[in-house]
Amino acid sequence: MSFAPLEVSVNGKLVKLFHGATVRHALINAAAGSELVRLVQSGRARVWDETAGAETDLGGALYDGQKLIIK
Amino acid sequence: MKSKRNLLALLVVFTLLFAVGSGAWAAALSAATGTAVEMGNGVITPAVWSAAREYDWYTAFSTRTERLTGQPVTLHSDFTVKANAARLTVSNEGVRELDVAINGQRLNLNTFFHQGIGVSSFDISDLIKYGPNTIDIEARGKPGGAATVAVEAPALTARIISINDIHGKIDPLPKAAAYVRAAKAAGGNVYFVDAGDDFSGNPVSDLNKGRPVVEVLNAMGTDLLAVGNHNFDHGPEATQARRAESIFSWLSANIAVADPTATPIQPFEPYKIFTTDLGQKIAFIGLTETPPSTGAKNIVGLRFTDPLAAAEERINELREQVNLVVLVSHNGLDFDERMAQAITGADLIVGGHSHTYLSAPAVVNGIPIIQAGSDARYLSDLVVRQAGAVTVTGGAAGGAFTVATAGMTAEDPGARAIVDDWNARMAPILDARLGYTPAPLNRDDRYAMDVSVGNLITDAMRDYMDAQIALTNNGGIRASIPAGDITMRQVYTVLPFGNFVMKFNLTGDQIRQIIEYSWNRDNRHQVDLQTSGLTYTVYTRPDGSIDHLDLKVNGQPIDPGAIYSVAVADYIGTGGGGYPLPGMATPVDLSSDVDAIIVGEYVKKIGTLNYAATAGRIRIKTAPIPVAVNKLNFYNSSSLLADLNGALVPLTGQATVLVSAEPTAYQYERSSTAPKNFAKVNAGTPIPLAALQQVGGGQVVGLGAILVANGYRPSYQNPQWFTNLLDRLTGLFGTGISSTGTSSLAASGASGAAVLFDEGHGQYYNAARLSSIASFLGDRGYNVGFTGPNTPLTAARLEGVKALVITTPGSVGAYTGEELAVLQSFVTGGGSVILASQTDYNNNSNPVELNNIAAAIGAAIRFNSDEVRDSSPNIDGTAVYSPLTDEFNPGYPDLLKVR
Repeated sequence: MSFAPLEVSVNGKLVKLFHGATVRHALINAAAGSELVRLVQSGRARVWDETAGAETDLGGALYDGQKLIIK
Repeated sequence: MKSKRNLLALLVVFTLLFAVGSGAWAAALSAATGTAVEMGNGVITPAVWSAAREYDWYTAFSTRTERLTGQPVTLHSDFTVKANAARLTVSNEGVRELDVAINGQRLNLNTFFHQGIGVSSFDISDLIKYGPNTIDIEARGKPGGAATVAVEAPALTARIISINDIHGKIDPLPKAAAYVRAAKAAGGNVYFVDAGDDFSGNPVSDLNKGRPVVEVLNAMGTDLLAVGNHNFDHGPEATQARRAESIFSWLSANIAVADPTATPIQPFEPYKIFTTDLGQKIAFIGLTETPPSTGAKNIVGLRFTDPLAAAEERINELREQVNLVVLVSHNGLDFDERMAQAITGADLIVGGHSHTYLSAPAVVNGIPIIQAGSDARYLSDLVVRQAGAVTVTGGAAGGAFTVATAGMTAEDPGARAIVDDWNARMAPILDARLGYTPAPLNRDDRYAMDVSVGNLITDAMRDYMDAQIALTNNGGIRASIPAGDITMRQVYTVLPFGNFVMKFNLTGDQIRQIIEYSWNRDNRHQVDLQTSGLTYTVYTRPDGSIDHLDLKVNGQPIDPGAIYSVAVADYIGTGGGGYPLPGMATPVDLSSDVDAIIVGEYVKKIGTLNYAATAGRIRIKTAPIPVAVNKLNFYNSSSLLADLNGALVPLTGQATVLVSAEPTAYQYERSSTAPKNFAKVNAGTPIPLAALQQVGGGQVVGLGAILVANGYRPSYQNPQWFTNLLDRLTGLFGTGISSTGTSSLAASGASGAAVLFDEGHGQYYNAARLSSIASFLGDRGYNVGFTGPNTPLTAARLEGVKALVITTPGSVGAYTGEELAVLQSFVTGGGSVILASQTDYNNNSNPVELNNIAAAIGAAIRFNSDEVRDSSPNIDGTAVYSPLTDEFNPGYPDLLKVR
C-alpha cells in the first residue's frame, strides 16, 4: 500500500493528504474538525467535484488536483 | 432487441445481373458505400478499416463487375467476418435457380424459389465462422433476370446496467434487483456489471465479512464484478470465500498472485467475454486501483500492476476477437478520463472508486465513461449500439442514463428476502455477547486522565495495527460501557463515527509534539488523547500550560530520535482537531475495518477484560514553579583541577570557575584504588565544581558531576542552570526563545541534534538515565539526541551539533585517537563540549579518560579523583556526598536566570 502525497482543495482551501484518503478526510482536514462532514451527513450540504463537474460523496476516493466544493 | 431494423449493416453484397437481351450475365459485387477495396482473385480482404477500430468490419466493401457469356454464373469469393452472426438475404427478380454455399455447405433455397418470394433472409450464423469465410454462388436464368445475394451482419446492441461502490449498503438492492431483472426479462443483451468496492460501510455486511452483499448480487443476476480495493477489506480468506460464493466472475486484469503460498486468493480472470443473441462478442475487462487502498495485510502475496498498461495489453489481445470492449474500472473518474485519453480500442468505461455521480456519460477521446455514485443509490443504464461507430443512449425511462433506486417501486422478492433475512439476523448479532467486563468501562474522567474505555479502544487499535503506540482523541469516545457482558451494539454506541485507523512511523520527538498539541489544543489544557503503549505525564504551570512532558514507551523513556509505529484514529491522522500529523509524516498503513469492528473483534479475542478505572497511563502533575537559580546540588561530585605542564595543580587561573563548593566543603579521597590522580586544592581556596574555558572557536566546560541525571531534586535548580549553560554555549542566550518554541538550531535527527549526549563509550548516564533532562530541554526548544551505545564519535555524527555532553566513560570506553582528533576539530570549529565527571566512590569515576579528552581538545581543565563533601549544607543534613552550593561566579548572571 502506498500513501503518495496528494493535494486537493476544499472550497478553495488547499489540503495536503495522501493516496487512499477520501473526501471525508479532506473535509476533516479543511475544517480541522467534523463540521463539514456533519453538514454533508445531515444532507444540508453536498459535495461537488468541480474538476469532474459532478457530485461525489464522503467516501469518494481523492485524486491529486481535485477541487471540491461543499455547497 | 433482435429486430429487422438492426440488421442493417451489409458486409458483402453479391449482385448477379442478368443482362437484358444480351444472353450474357453480369455479376457484380456492389458496394453500398462506394468504398472500394481490392478484390484480387476473388478474395475480399477489407483493406480499409476505421483508424480507431481495426475490427470494425462494417465499413469494408468491395465492388467488381464482370460480363458473362450466357453460361451459368458462378462466383467464388472469400470474405472475412468479425462477428459470430450473419444473415444471407436474397433478392430475386427472375433467376430460376440459385445455389449458394457458405464454406462449402449449401443452403437450401428451394422453398424460397418455389414460393416465388422476391426477398428472403436466412440465418447463416451456423455456417459462418469468425474470421475468413468463403461463398460460392451459381445462378441460372433467362436474360433479363437479376438477383442480389447479400451477406449481412447485424448491428450490435447491448444494454449495460451498472452499479459501483455499494459499500455494504444492501437495503436499496431489492429495488435495483427488480430493475435489472425486468430489463433482462425484456430480452436482448442485458448485462449487469458491478464496478467494485462492495464491502465496508454497513455493519450488516461488515460483521459478516461481506456475505450479505454477495448473496444479493447473486440474486440480482449480476454478470461480473471488477475487483475494487475495498473488496479485500475483510482479509484474504474472506475475499476468496466471497468470490467462491459468487455465481459471477470477479475480474481484474492488473492483479497477479505473486506468491500463492502467501495468500488463499486465487488468480482473478482478467476479462470475461459474453456472446450476444446474434453472436457478437463483448469483452469486459476488470481494472483495479493500484496501489489499492486497503490494509496491507489483506493483499499479501498479490502484485498490482499499472491498470492502464494492463488495459492496453488486454485490448491488444482481444480486439481482433470481439466486437465491443468495455473497461470496468475501479480507479476513479480522474484516472478513467486519463485512461480514455491515452488508450485506443476501448468502447466504454464503467467506473467506480471516486463515488462520482454522472447523470450522463463523460466522453473523453470518444469513449463514454459512466459512474453511478455510491451506496446503491443509483444504477447507470446504457444502451450501447455498434454499427460502425459506437453510440450510447440512456436505457432508463425517458432515455435517462441513470436511475435512482429510491425512486423505484418494484422490489425483487428474492433479493428482498435475503436482505430481510440478514437484517433480521443483525439484532442477535449486535446483541450477542462479545466478552465480559467485571468493571464499568467509563469515559467520564477522560479529560483528566486515562480511562478504561479509552484504554480498551487504544489497546485494540494497537493490536490490530501491530503498532507500538496507539492514540485516539476523546471526542471520538461517545459512551461508556457498563459492567457485564459487552455487545457489538454497545461498542457501536461508544464508537459511532466509523473512523478508520491509520498507522504512522513517528520519531519520539514528533510524538512529544503531538502530546503537547493535544494538551494545548484550543487552549483547553486538558487531556485529549487516550493512549496505549505510551504513558505520559504532563507537568503543568500555574496557568495550565505545559512546563514539560515525561513520555515513556513500554516503561522506557521515549527516545526523541528513535522511530515508533503509532496507530491513530483517522480523524486526527488526517488533521482533524488541527492535529499536525498530516504535515509530519505520511501513513504507512490504513485499517480496512472501522474502529467499532476493531474494538469488537478485540473484545471477542480477549474475552474477559481487566481494566481498572484508570491505569496511570496519563498523569497530570504540577511542575515546580520556576525560580531563579539560587542553589545547586552537586550530588556525587568530584572537584576540578588544572594541568600545568603535565602536573595536576589547583584550578585557579587556567579556566573560569563558574561554581564552587561552599567554604565548609572538603575533598575526600573515597576510593583507595586506581585510577589515582588525587590532588588537594590550596588551603582556603574554594573547591571548583564547574569551570568554563574558551578553546579555539569553541568552549569547554568541566562539571564535577552531571547534575541532571534522572532523580535530581526539583527543589534545586540543576536543570535550569544546565539549560542556561547550554544557552550560553550554543548562543541561544538572549534570543528570547519561548519555553514551547522551536529551537533555531538546525537538527536532522539524532545525528544532527543540537545537543548530543555521548553514550557510546560505556557511559552509565545513558538515554534512559538522562530522559528527564532531555525532555526538559526539548520543552525549551532544544533538539536533544543520544549517540546510542557502542557508537564512535565521527565528524558526520557531530554534523549540526552545537554542544556535546560527555559523562564518565565506562571501563570499555576509551576514545580512539581518531575520535580525539574529531573532538579537537569540533571544538576548534566552534563546538562546545561539556565534560562531566563524578565521585570516585567505588571507582566509578574515570578521571584519566576524561582528562585525556580534555588534553586532546586543548583544555586545561582536569578532574580529580575525589568526592566533594559538605556536612552543611547538604540535601538533608546527613548526606555529605550531596552538597549544596550557591557559590556562583557573579560574572555569569545568565546562568541563574529563569526562562
